[in-house]
Amino acid sequence: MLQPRKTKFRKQQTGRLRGKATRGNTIAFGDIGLKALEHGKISNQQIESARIAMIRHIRRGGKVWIRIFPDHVKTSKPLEVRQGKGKGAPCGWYAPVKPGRILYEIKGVDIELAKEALKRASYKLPIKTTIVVKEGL
Amino acid sequence: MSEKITFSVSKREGLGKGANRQLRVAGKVPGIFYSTTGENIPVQMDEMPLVKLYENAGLTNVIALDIDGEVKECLIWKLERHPFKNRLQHVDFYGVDAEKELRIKIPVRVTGTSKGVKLGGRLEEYRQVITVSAKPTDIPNEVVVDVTDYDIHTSLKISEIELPENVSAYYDDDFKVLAVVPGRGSAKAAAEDEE
Repeated sequence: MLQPRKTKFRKQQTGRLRGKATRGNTIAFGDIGLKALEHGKISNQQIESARIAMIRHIRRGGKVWIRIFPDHVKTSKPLEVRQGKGKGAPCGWYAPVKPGRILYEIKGVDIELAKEALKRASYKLPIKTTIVVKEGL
Repeated sequence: MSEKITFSVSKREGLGKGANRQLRVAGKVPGIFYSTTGENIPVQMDEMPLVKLYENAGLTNVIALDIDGEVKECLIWKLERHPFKNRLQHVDFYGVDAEKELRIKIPVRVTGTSKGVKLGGRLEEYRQVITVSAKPTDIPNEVVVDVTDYDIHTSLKISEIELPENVSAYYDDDFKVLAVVPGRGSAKAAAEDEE
């Protein structure tokens, strides 16, 4: 699964997701892509799960690009522990996503097959998405 | 394109973020016309006719832009879209001089299945658009490359692309546009042959 090779600090402040995606909001590599319509935090498990759903449907041929990277750390406290005593331990990675962000792109397969693959990938994600086709196709 | 499409727009009075947001709420699209003489005219138009114009003319066909009765020749230079809603935010019209060459990006379309791909190779497209230099009326809509005769280890450089008359490719380095490279299957077969 995707995760940073090394980080400068173990934990991060949570922050908030606001606004629209001003970068990474157009199809850059493939012919068809999946675009986020909501804010959300997509974990590395979800990114991988959606990718597998997609490539298993495509079977062979084509190329898939993942346009997001889970570079934010998630922390959690153990069960049955009182509040306080510091921040919880790192327990996973997520990619913060804003509406408009392209999540995946596909090239080199039939457009209907690619649409179905992206639809299957969208079921694995925690946010609303839409399929966008590159202009001129 | 044989006939020039005429498109009517009106001059825009309000400038800036607030005025343009109000325009978009009213279903209109703000835009600007960049003239060849350096005089720029802010314009506004309805969204649906603009969508139809873009479908018909694209970015490579010269259109006759009617700005409150004054007709000017131009190209659609840039369309700005909303990040996730299916709406247009802004449009740039680029005034052209019929006698002056300009540089523009046009898409490369690949047709046919190459010989190399049938033998297990892989077609790699390095560039999807190329820059050409031509007079506005000579700009082609796209460059079509037929790859049927391309064997493995065959590539096409920008200098080798066949372009219509009066159109020349613009480039610094003679880069590859596409190539047919050995696929995984063909590499394995070659290794077995060597053994």
